[in-house]
Amino acid sequence: MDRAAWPWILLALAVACAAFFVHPPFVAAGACAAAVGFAALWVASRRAPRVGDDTLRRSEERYRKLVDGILRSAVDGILTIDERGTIEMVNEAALRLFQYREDEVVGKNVKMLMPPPHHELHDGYLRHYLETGERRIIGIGREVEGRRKDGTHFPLDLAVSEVVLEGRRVFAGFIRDITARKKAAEELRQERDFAESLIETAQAIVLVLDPNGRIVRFNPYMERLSGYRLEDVVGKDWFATFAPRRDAGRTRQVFGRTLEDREARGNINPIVTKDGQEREIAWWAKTLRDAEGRAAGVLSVGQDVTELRAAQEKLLQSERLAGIGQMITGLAHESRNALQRMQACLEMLEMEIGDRPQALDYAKRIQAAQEYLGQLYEEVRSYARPIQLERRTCDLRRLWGAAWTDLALRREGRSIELEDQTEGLDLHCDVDPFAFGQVFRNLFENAIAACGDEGRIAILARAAEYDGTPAVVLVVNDDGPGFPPGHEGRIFQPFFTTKTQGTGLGLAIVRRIVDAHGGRAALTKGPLPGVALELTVPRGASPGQPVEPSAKSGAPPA
Amino acid sequence: MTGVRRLRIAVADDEPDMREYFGRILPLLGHELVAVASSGAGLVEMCRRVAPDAIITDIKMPDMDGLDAVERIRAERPVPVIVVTGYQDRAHRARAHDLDVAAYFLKPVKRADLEQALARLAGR
Repeated sequence: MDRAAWPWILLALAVACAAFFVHPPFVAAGACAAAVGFAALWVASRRAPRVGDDTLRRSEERYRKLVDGILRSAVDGILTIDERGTIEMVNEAALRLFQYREDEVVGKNVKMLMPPPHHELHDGYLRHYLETGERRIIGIGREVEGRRKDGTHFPLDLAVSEVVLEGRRVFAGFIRDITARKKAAEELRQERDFAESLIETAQAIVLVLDPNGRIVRFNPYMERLSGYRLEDVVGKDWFATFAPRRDAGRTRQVFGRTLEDREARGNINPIVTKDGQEREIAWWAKTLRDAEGRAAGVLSVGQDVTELRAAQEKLLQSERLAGIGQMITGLAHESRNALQRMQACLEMLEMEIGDRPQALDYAKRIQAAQEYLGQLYEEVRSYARPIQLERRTCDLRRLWGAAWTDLALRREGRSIELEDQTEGLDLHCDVDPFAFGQVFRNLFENAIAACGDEGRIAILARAAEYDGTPAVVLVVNDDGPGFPPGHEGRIFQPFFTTKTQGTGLGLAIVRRIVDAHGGRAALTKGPLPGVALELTVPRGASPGQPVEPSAKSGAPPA
Repeated sequence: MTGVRRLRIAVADDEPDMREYFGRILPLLGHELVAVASSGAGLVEMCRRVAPDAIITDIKMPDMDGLDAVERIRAERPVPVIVVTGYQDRAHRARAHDLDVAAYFLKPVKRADLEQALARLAGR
């Protein structure tokens, strides 16, 4: 053999090893290179002695040792078999992998290193290849299992190359233990599955936007919340799609800051769902970076806090009201005393000036102002005080009957009729009779004020369900002019009034009391042209035996 | 007022204006003011001495409130009571109700209110 051939042999083997290390795309190439290397090696070893040149022989001997050393000390396992599968050569790495000594494997069938089913089938594989030439592993490489001496299995990458030498075939196997890699891949897969199922099941929005704010992905929770499927909006601008129009510019700025690595923590920015609803979302966002450290997008996790915020708002509102209520209750006694002293002094003054009509007129005006102040004060107090209900089973008919009677003075000199159109319906509900008496007084006061000198006020009722419980729906309807158009949305707001007299608290108090009973007060349409207010009153625990309020249930004297 | 029995009335209020008011208004309504107290304890003491036909009392007063005073007076002899107070909470109303007061007026009370209530008492 030409001396110049040796470096090529070494190069081919080196290429084979290198390719194998790079794995897996280069396994086939590696195997081919290895085949070339082996073939050359084989030829060299057979032919070298015939050259008969001492120097050359020594040189060849040296190279052979070198190659032998490389093979034996290679990090990967290498072994060769003949056409029958008998192991001819095995390196130390392979012995370590399979935990055998060299003499335990050389000369044995290679199937001893394989677990079933390849253990039983390998002789057949070889025969099939020798007969048909159909390659199933040679030059291809695949992931298989090896069997150690102690019977345990381990995953390995196998590349096989074939060398034909003087009509005889030799097969070389390159073996790499991939236990660690498989384990790492498995761990990675588990991590990925875990992350994926987290994203899938999270009861929070998980959203990824690209650096331009376009939607990359979001999770099923977001699909349910927003009503959009990801495939319908992927690639679209987030802010144009989901931000309320008034907010789009501002949230885009926040997004820009997040891209500059300023994390968002709990910023609340609403989204608009497909059906036009706004949901309040608290966002936590983080910049995603690529391998070069460039901002690749923003990962945002959003919590729907709509209900929470509403509850907080309600709590705040009721705390505020409770505070005002306490304050006003605290003021109550002294204010009433002051009003009383004014009243007493006014009456005494009138006695003193009884013969002076002009002075008496002024006194009467002071009296009117004092009365208005007292009424205003009382309405504010009754709106702001904490509601403590004492429920009893009451017939609503009786409660509104009493309220109607209380207002006899207001109707004096006018012909206003109350038409009860609720005949036959059971109107027993668990309510606070005092509070509900006020509800009816307020509704009737408004209705009476709306009617002219002649008027009708109708009460209608029907049985209904509210929030899944039996309820009564009452409608109080007058034939006055109705609310001026455009005011419908504000009628339950405190201090909203369409009258020249009055505090504008009447309907706010009605709503507050009905709400406290778990019911609902709303504007509706009725048979008469004027205002129609609808009260939904849950019947409460047991519409059984009616217990009427006693005569002294605490109503203030008329 | 004609035909209505003339009542001998004791009043209690810590406001001087109110004491003066009762002093002027009750005779006009045909009744006699027989005792004026500015505290609960004073009312108890005076009622022992003058044995009035009716009591008009405030609730909140120094040393003893009006309802406590009524309880003590009632323990010695029955007497109808009209309450005139700034308290409108359920607890005070309930206490007054338990004492079976003849009327519970929330301040500011007017001459007409008193006239009606006293007429009812005088007619008993």
